[in-house]
Amino acid sequence: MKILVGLSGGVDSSVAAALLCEAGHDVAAFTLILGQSNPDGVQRCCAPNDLRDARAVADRLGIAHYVWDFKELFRDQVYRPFLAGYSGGVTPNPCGMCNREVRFGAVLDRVTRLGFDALATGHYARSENGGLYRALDRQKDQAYFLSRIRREAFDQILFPLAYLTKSRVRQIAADLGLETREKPESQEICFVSGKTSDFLASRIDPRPGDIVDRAGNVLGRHSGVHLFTLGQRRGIGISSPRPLYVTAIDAGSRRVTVGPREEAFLSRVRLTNCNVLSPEILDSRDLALSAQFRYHAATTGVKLTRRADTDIDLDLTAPAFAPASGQIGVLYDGDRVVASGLIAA
Amino acid sequence: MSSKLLYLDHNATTPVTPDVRAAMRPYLDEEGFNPSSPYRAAQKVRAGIDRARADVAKLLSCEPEEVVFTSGATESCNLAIWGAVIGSDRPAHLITSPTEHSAVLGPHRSAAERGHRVTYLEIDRSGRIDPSQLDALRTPDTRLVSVMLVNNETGVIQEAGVIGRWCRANGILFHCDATAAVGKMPVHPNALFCDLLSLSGHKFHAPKGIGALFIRRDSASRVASYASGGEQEWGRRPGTENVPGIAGLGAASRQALEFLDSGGPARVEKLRNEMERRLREKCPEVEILGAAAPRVCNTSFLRAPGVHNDEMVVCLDQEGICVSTGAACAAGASMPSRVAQAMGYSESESREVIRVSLGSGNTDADVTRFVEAFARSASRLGMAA
Repeated sequence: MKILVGLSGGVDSSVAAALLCEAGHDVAAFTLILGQSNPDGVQRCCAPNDLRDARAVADRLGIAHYVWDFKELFRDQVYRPFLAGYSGGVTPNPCGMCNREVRFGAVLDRVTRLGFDALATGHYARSENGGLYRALDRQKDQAYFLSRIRREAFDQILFPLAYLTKSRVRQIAADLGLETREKPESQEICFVSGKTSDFLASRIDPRPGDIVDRAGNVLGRHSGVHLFTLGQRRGIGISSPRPLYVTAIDAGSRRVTVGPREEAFLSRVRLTNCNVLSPEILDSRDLALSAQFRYHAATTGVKLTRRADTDIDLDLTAPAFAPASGQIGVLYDGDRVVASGLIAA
Repeated sequence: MSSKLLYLDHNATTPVTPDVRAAMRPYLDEEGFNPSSPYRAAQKVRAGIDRARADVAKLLSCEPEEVVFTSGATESCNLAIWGAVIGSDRPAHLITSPTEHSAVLGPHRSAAERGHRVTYLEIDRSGRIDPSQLDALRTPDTRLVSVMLVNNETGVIQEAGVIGRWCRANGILFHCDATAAVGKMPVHPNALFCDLLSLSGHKFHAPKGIGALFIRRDSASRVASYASGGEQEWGRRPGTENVPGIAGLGAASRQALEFLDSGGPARVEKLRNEMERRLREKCPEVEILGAAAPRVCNTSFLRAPGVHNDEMVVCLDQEGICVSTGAACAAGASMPSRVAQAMGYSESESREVIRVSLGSGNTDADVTRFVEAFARSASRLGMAA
């Protein structure tokens, strides 16, 4: 097969590329430049070091390596919606947006136009039978972030690390002498260095509002809804005998509701903008599906009611802690991703 | 990957020829002495530098003393521009064009950040500068005009002589970046009324890391020395000389003179025109930027409407054909061509351009192979009709 593989400069994508070469495929590589050219913050992705490492790996494997500038698209489809989401009192998931619109959107279109059969990356997930499944290594599984990708795309996506554990990947990198074998994990949001709240505070103008309890009593003031996420405990700034959690955010009235932990549990969740990856399973209602509302959270059983075309209401068998609006809610049938949506406010 | 590599990116760099390599070799081997040393063995090295300087001077029809060896065009441009700027304590007014290479734009930007004033000339749709703009831009503080002879992306030849004559008449220094011209057309700084002229060796078969700056003898007092150090190159470019590079530049200059004298540019131009004719025949949608203006013999700046140049380059690379996008960052990612934008093309149109630059070794078969690959790629990538 003719395969284009994305190299980020990290160990995972390096090994993914190496495995494809070893399997005898016709492989070429690319690295995306996504960061702002005139950054108003230090960025950790797209750093010159990562590019150098990606280049070194491609050179070691003897494959072509192209560098593609997708800054503009990233700014429009990820960075700006990210800021707009926080301003509007929701907690956007930039990785989900990037995977859908950039990495497995515009880039996949390019891969197809260039006459390659598939696009491969170093994600931990399985792309099989035209669908998306969780990775064997549950600690590393990234299906949550990949669940927003359009269904048709999975016919052309390869995840060579699907059945590997992270420690095995590092072992392979060491065995092959890849430059990236010792590189630390990248974490959090690629374009945010430091704390997300500091990043947002320096980019979004303060718009103060009230902090209230469930009964509507004013407990204090805050300097903007963008500084809060559902379920947040730190940084509320109100002393209380019991820890307080954010239980609701209303961007319209700029009101942030807080309460004890039990008030942050929900037993009904609405998903909007649903991306259905397996319509057959979604339509067979007698199946027991499970749902996940944040990365690395445990799944919970759900009964679902389909509303409009892209909305799904979920009744949870056990209440979930603070499903944050704007984040991704994923529906699984065992390991298979059936659908994903954005958690409604 | 199919067949052998077809190199069509001679404006990026050119291969070192056997003659050039042979001229360099003694200075990498047995003649590795410091030219400033006093003994006999070193004197031979100094004589080699003198010969090379004479060869460059002959190519430029100037005096050897007017040639300063540098590390390449970027250094030459910096020495020229800063040399003109720091010559006086008053803030200077500088005039240049938006289609200059970054080697010229960079120093202008830095100068502007340090309190000097920079004005940019207008470029027309064909990539030319109308020299009559200059009268309206002149101020009592105008110290330098910097305009390239040949644009590295489009190949368009500017009326440098007209601009130079105007500068001379107005007592303003004229710097011409001739990097994309030297070796492909006669370049005579005195005929162009240049006070300063920059060139780079690796664009005409010398190695990377060697270039030259022409400083007109009668203008030298108005150009300050920017770098400080030893006495090499009259103190204009201090530091022990890059002797192998200098010898290579001398040999490349002799070779360039032979190429010019034997009708080389006309042969390359015929091939380039034939390529464009076949391309137009096969892909009538393709636009050739700058074609309405006089152009250097080897360059074609092509726009395939609707085709992103990143993708065209990958398609051609998959077939072993090397061309470049208009502009790229150091990492290799293509950017919208600044030159196309200055000519009035939109940002997205400026991402649809590729540059093909032929060398004297390219053949009719090469051109055929390119045209076919280009047409195939353009149709696969969805060129708009």
